This record gives sequence, structure tokens and C-alpha cells, in this order.
Amino acid sequence: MALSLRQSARTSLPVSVEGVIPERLRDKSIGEIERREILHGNRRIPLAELFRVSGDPSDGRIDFEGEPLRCHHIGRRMSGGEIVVHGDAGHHPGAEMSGGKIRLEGNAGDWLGAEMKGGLIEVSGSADRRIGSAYPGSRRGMTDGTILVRGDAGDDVGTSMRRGLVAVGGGCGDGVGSGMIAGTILVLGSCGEHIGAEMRRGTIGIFGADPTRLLLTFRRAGQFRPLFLRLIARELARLGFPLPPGLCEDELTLYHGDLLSLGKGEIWLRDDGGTR
Amino acid sequence: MSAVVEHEPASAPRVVEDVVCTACGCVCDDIELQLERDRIIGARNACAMGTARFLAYRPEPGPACLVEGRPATFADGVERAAHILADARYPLIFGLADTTSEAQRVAVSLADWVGACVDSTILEAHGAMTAALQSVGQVTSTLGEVRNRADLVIVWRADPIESHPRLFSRYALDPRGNFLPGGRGDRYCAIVDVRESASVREAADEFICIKQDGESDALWTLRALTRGIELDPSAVETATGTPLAIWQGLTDRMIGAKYGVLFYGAEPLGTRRRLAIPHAIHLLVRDLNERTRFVCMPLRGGGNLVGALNVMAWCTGYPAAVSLAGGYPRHGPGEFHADGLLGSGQADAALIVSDDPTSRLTAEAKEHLERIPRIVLCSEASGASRDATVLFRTAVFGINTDGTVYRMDAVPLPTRAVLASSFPSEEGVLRAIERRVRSLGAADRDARTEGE
Repeated sequence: MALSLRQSARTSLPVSVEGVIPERLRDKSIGEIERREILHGNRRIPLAELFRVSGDPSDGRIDFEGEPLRCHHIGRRMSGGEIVVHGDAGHHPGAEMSGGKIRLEGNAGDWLGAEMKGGLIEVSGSADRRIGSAYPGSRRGMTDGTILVRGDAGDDVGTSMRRGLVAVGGGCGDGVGSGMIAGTILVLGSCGEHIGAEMRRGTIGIFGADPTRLLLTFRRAGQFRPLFLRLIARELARLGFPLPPGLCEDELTLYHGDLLSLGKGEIWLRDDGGTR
Repeated sequence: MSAVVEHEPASAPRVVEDVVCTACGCVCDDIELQLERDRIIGARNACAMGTARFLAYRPEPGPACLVEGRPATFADGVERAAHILADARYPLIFGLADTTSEAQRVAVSLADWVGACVDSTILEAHGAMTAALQSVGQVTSTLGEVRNRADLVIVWRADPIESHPRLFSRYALDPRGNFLPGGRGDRYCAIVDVRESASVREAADEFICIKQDGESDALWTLRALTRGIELDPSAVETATGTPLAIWQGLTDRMIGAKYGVLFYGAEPLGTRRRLAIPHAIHLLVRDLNERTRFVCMPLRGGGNLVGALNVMAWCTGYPAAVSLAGGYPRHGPGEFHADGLLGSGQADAALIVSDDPTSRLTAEAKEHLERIPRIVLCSEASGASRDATVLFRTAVFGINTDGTVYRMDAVPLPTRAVLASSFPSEEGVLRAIERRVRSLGAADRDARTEGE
């Protein structure tokens, strides 16, 4: 039986639940968990002031329930176990996590899985800016793990990511995969501008029907059916994120870039209408 | 605190030399003011913007402090302000762009004591410059170096003749420099913009017109040409609105320059996100430094915004959008920006330092600001700040107060009080609030210790 944290009070102030992660609560009693401090506005308060704590933490699963509080830092730095959020999350969910699983049954704010090192994040709604990105001043974004967003994503998905997989079911804003070092980003909808600006290696697949404008420093290389996509599709299907039927059989257009960086990055487009 | 009023003979106009002007980012320090009693009647050397600022100075009488619209003593105002901030659960301190660095420093310290978020800038473009600085750095210099060395001046989507009227005449184009004995004749000025501006008509040797949405493609083209990467001429022309040959010519000139400078505009173009522009400019200049010497500089506006960025960076480690709510500085672009904190309804009290930083807030942010207790430090009697919970009238920055102001190249310059004011400086008000907040905190701690 999982540990349930049900919201018991309303607040307009930001709540940060940094440190409320399975490995830290697993061996604690309900009383100890209730006294655990969280940040509410600029005060530290016991968890029990905002949440009704029940259940059993020993199986490593935490459920956030009740009215969506949009708590920040859910699952930050977690290394194992599972967190399920029945509602929206605030900023930084799963940032710097190294293992385990986070399931968001709602939307996420900025910095979803920023600089994550491993594990799995699933979002049933949309996520805002900078998914899997590097924090300001950092050289690397996510270095491993998987982020699946069923809805749309904001600007700067996977900025400077080094490894791992990001899949977005809807569309994305500007700057997808800018500064990417390696890794894979798949977008089933359409994208904004500056796709893969400064990318060195890695793959960005954009499968939406809208024609996409690419930077001048990307070169068309030809058409192909990447075998690699079949392997990813199989893995995504296993995770409950099926790619559209027929995608693996379609001819994709391959572009190489960004020539201003290493130039070994790839952009795959399914619908090449109007793109240079 | 309140400045001493000097008694001058009634009819003797006096002249004060080397006054610093804060009307634009140039922060000219050679202004000669003519004063008559408590009025400024002339400003020699100043441009139209500076002159207008100095001549508009009118000491308005009135109460130094209003609490809920009623005149109050300074001590009562400080007491109320300190309680608002100390009781708030998520206060916000913002503005800071039109005051001295000394006052900015106290504001950051106050934010630390009360666990507030502090933000100087509410312009996305400034956020973009900061982000570029953090991710790729900036090759830059002082304006003095530009004056003495720069033989190529590129202005990227800006109109300095209008926004920084003395930039060309004092630093960038006209002066004879140590290594440019010919002055204007030794320099070449190219302007890249979406329209033919006053600067293009009056100062440019070359004007390159780009498409409204072609800015980042133009920068990417220049970067590619600098690196010797071949581009498709028709694609370049479609994307930027200018033939590749023109860009090649500009690139050759940039690489051939002994010392180049690129000034770029700080105001956002249209509604589209401009994060990528400062980023691309800083990268281009970094690339150019493999071939020659090149620097870049954003054309920052007036006041002391650069000071705010610098002060916050050396106090907290981050230049803007800092939260001290957890007891240590945390940087959150987007998360801790003033308009975001207000627009999302999270901030529950606000301290606004300087005249009117609220004009750029979103409608939701303004609406929320009206609902929460707010303390305003303002040098003008009129304006949006009149219905503040606590309003402090302050001495005018740059005219009534001593202190430090940062030029757009981050050179700090001292400002002097040329005229006395009966109102306290922003620094004085902030210090008084800080002192009271600290004693409230100490009383709180004592009460808790006794309780234990």
C-alpha cells in the first residue's frame, strides 16, 4: 500500500516539497513524515499542515492527491521508487532525478526532468518550458532517462541534453534540442523555430504535418526509413506511448547539422512540405 | 537622512560641472548644470533627452510619507512597512532600476532578511541577455576602449541617435581615438535593422535591411560565413530578405577590422520570444574573435538597470529573478520574475523601489498588485503609486542623491547631489525599514527562546 499525501488546505503561496521522495520516507513512521518540513512561501512548515498523511511508505510509492496544489520540486533528486501525482505539478518535477518513476496525471510547469540522470517521467497533460534542459550556467541538460509528455510542450525542450529520450505527443515551442550534445527528442506534433540550433549530435524527429522552418546551417541528406526508429517505437509501445501507425514505414527526410557546431546532429521530418 | 538645505543668495545662478546624467545608458559625466535656487535652468553638453530630464526637475512639496493615502510621520511609515514585509509569507521586492547601487544593495539585503523574491527587470529581452551571458558568456569592453580602438561599428537593430543620442559623438564614431587619429574618417559604421531609422540616415556608411522575422537567420548567416561554411544563396535571401553577397561583404569587413564593436538593441521585436537573439549575437562575436578582435554590448536604457544586475549578481550570485524565500538565493528565470510572481497570484506583499516599474507588467500582474499590501518608494507625487499602502516620497535619483550608477558597459560612476531635497533618499528609507525588520526579527527570536 502506498503512502498517500492528500492536500487538506488551500493556499495561494508556492509550496516546495523538495526532499519528499520515496527513499527518504521509506523507513519513517507516519508521525515522522507528518513532522517533515516543507517550504510554504518563505516559511518552513510541517508536512501535516497542508497534507493528510496516510498509508505506508515502505513499498516506495508516494501518491499526491486532492486539489492540485501545483507543488514545486516534486521528486527532485529521487533515485528510486515511484511518485504518482493525481493533478498538476509545479516547476522542476523530477529535476536531477537519477532513478525511479514519476507519473503526473495532469500538467507540469517549467523544468520537467531538468538535468535528470535516469528514470522515467510520464505526463498525461502538457508541460511548460525547458523539459530535460540544462539549468542556467550548466553545460549539460539531461544525461539519461526517459520523459514522455502526452500533451504539448513549451519552448526549449532538451536544451543541451547529453543522453536519454524525450517524446512529446503534441506540439512544441521554439528551440527544440538547441545546444543538444546527444540523445533523442521525438515530437509527434509541430514545432516552432530554432530547431536544433547549435546541436552537436543526437536526433530530433518531428512528425507533425506542419511544414517546419529549419536553420540555414542544416543540410538535407536524403530520405530513409531509420531502423533505429523501430527499436524506439517498440520501447515506447512497451511504456504505453504508441507512435502513430505507419510512421516506421514512412520515408523520413534527414537533415544534418548544426554545421556551426559539430554537425553530426540529425533532424528527421515526416512531412517535408515546403521545407528547404 | 533628509538632506541639508543649502542657503544660497537668492539671485546667484551657480554652475556645477561634471554632473552625471542618467537619462540613457551612456551615463554622460560631463554635464554642466546651471542652477537657480532649487531649479535647474540649463544643462550644457547634455543631449535632448538629458536636457529634458534635468529641466523637468520640479521639487514638489508634499508629505514625505503617506499611509493608506493619509499623511503620516516617517517613523510610522517605516513601522507599517516593516510589519507588512515581516508578516508576508511571500513578499516581492522589485523595480530597482532607477536608484543608486547603494540603495539596490540595501534592497537585496532587506529581501534576505524577510525571505523575499527580488527582481530588477521585468523585460523579457533583459532576461534573454542574462541567459546569453550565463550560457555563452560575452566578449565585451568599456566604451573608452571602443572610442580609442574600434574601426568598425556595427549597430544591430537599434537606433542610438534616438535612444542613446551621444553614443556616436562621444564614444563610438566621431571622436579621435589613440589608434584612430582620423576620428570619423577612420571608422566604418554598418547598421542592420528592419527599417531605415534616424541613425541610418545620419550615421551609417552602410545599411542592411532585414526582414521582420529574419533576425536570427541573419545572425546565423554571419556566423556561418565567419566559419567558412557554404550557404545556399536563395535560402539566405528568402530567410533574411538580403542577398548572400551583402552578408559576405559585411563578414569580410568584420574579419578585416582591427577592432570591431557590435551594439545591439535591448527592446524586444514584436511579441515573439527573442531568447535566441542575444545568444546568437554573443556566439557570433565569440566566433569573430578567432579571426580578429571584436566585442559586443547591449544598448541598455536609462536609470541604473545595469547597476541592479551587477549588485544582485555580487550579492546573490544571480543577476535577476532571485528568490531568498528558502533562506538562500535561488535563481528562477520565468519562475521568480516579478510579472510571473504577481500574475500567478503568489506574491502576498510588494515593495516597489523607483518610479514606475509597473507600466510593463501584464494586466493580471497589475490586477494582483492592487489586491496586496504594497510599499512604494517614489520621487513623484502623482502617478499610479498614490494608492499604495505605504508611500515614501524620495529624493530624485541623480539630482538630489549621492551614490553610484553603472554605465551600460558596467563602469560604475559616482553621482553627486547637485540640489538638496527635503525628502530622504531611497537608500535612507530602505535602511530604516531594514533596521526595523531586523529588530522585529530579533524580538521574534527572543520571544521564541523565552517560550522554550
